[in-house]
Amino acid sequence: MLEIKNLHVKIADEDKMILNGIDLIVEDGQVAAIMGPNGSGKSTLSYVLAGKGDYEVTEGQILFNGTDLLELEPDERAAAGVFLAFQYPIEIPGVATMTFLKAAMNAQRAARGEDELTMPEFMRTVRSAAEKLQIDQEMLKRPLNVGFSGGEKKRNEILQMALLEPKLCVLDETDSGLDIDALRIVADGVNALRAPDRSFVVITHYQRLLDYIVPDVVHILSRGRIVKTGDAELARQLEKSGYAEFVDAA
Amino acid sequence: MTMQIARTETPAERALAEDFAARGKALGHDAARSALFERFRNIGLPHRRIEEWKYTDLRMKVRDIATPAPFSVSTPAESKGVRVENSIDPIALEERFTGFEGPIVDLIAAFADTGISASVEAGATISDPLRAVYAQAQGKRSHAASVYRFGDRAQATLVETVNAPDGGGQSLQNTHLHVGDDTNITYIRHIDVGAGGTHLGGVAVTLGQNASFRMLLVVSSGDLVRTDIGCRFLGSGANGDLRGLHLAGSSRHVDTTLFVDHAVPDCSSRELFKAVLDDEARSVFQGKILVRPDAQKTDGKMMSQALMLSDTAEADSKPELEIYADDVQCGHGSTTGQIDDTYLFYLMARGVPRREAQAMLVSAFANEVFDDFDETLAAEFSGVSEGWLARHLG
Repeated sequence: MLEIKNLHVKIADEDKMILNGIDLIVEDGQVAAIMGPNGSGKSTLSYVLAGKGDYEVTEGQILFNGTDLLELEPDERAAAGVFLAFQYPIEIPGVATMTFLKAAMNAQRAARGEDELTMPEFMRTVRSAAEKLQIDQEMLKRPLNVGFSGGEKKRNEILQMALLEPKLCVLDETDSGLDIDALRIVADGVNALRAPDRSFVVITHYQRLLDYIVPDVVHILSRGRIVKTGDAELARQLEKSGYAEFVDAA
Repeated sequence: MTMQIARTETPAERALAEDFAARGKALGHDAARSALFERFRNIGLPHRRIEEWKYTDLRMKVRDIATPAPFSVSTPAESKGVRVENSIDPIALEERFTGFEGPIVDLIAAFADTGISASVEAGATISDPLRAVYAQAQGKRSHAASVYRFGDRAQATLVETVNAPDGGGQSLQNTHLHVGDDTNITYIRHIDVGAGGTHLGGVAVTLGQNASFRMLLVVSSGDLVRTDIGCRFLGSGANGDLRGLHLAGSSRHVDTTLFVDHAVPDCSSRELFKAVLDDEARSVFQGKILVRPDAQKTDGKMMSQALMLSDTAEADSKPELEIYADDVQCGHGSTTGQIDDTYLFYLMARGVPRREAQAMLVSAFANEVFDDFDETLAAEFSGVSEGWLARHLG
């Protein structure tokens, strides 16, 4: 699914390197957790996967099902099946949530050569997906994320993920700011999407989320490199001992 | 001692004087009209050393005077409670107050050969919008002055359009709105005078007690458009909600200059003026709120915002507050910026192509001026803005 080779990334207008040679393979259907302390480059990795413009890749390659992801614009990556659930979903005043969802779904369908959804099809699909995530219909009538609580914003991200049916889902600290009930709803939403042809990169500080979304593999990121790889047990171990030993090892 | 500095008449000013002299009699112009023209002539076309015209120097910008031809005027339909005459009310020529005075007001009054005088009866509720269109023939110069009186407790919507085909021409049009007590009035003014077109004009509004007045100005075409809005609160408890949208590309110049006069207590005013600018276009917004000593408990907020689609567009914003009462709430703000990259990335990360994402964001910016407007009218004018956008993005 995803193959990252020797990825070096810096902030576009600065000299500061953030990622210093990441090598990572995510297999089809795999749930890969990426854990690491603050400033280790977790969010940068997620942004580089989605194609945010503020970073410069100085070395390395990202292959997504054999395609060079770095050659694609963010919308082309989305159409190819990459989805980033943002750590801080932004509020966009004036853009109605439903208008946005329809534009996103139809743009991706168009990129795949499929017909646009009819209005009833669209409404039905959104309604049913929203219900599963306990998202109020009233919320969908508001401008995108405007006035949403932290938990509502995160649920809205998972709703978009469910509607867009991506192949690679990157979850950037989806657990942050969620209470335990919201966490369960979000995790259930993610688990419902697990499939043999869909992979997940779950970025998190804490092991808590991984109790709900059990990973197949856990990578520890420190100072812009993967310093250790293990199974779900590694995350639990980390919760007890902290990052210190891994950070030092880097 | 006052010193008179001899002013050199520009070719455009000379052409106006010749036209006035030649056609005055044919147009039925009397001593009053001649006095108006003389008043114009004393100052001439306003220039940048006159503060209100600082950013829009007509002496420099108006080089030629087009051949005159009356507007083709389409008046609102008469109905129960609505009286309409295709004629010029003396008020249209005479009324002046701070924010609605000066050489261009006088020039329009001197030359006006068309106009609408309409009134909505006290207590009448008019459900369909009243629509007036001033259509200027290609490349000509036309003048109109209109007056609308809205009786107490009246509820109505008036939509005025000044339009012209591409290819230049000069349209000059003023509208006076007398808004009575306890009314609920919406006024939309659409300036669409085509490529090469010049439009000068404005709106004089007086608001009665507890009047609720809402205005939207949309400027969607024209190379040089200047709109003066003067809004006077005459009765307490009134509310004025004034909004505008400039849509300008190429090297167009769109100026809206606003004067809100709070003379009585307990009134509120909201001003929201937005501009979407492309290429080398320039938008000017000058807004002044005056709160006179008696206007206690005035609540005034003014905001102007410009969204730049190019690096070479220019937005000038000059908000002013002049407050003489001590128990008021007033504020103003101004922003100028480009499409927010974080917004753009978010939309694109969901698969929305760049151009479509930009269009969504520009519409979101512009459409705020239609908030809380009647849905049909909001759709009509957001259609105008989206049509403009479709031509400018991509």
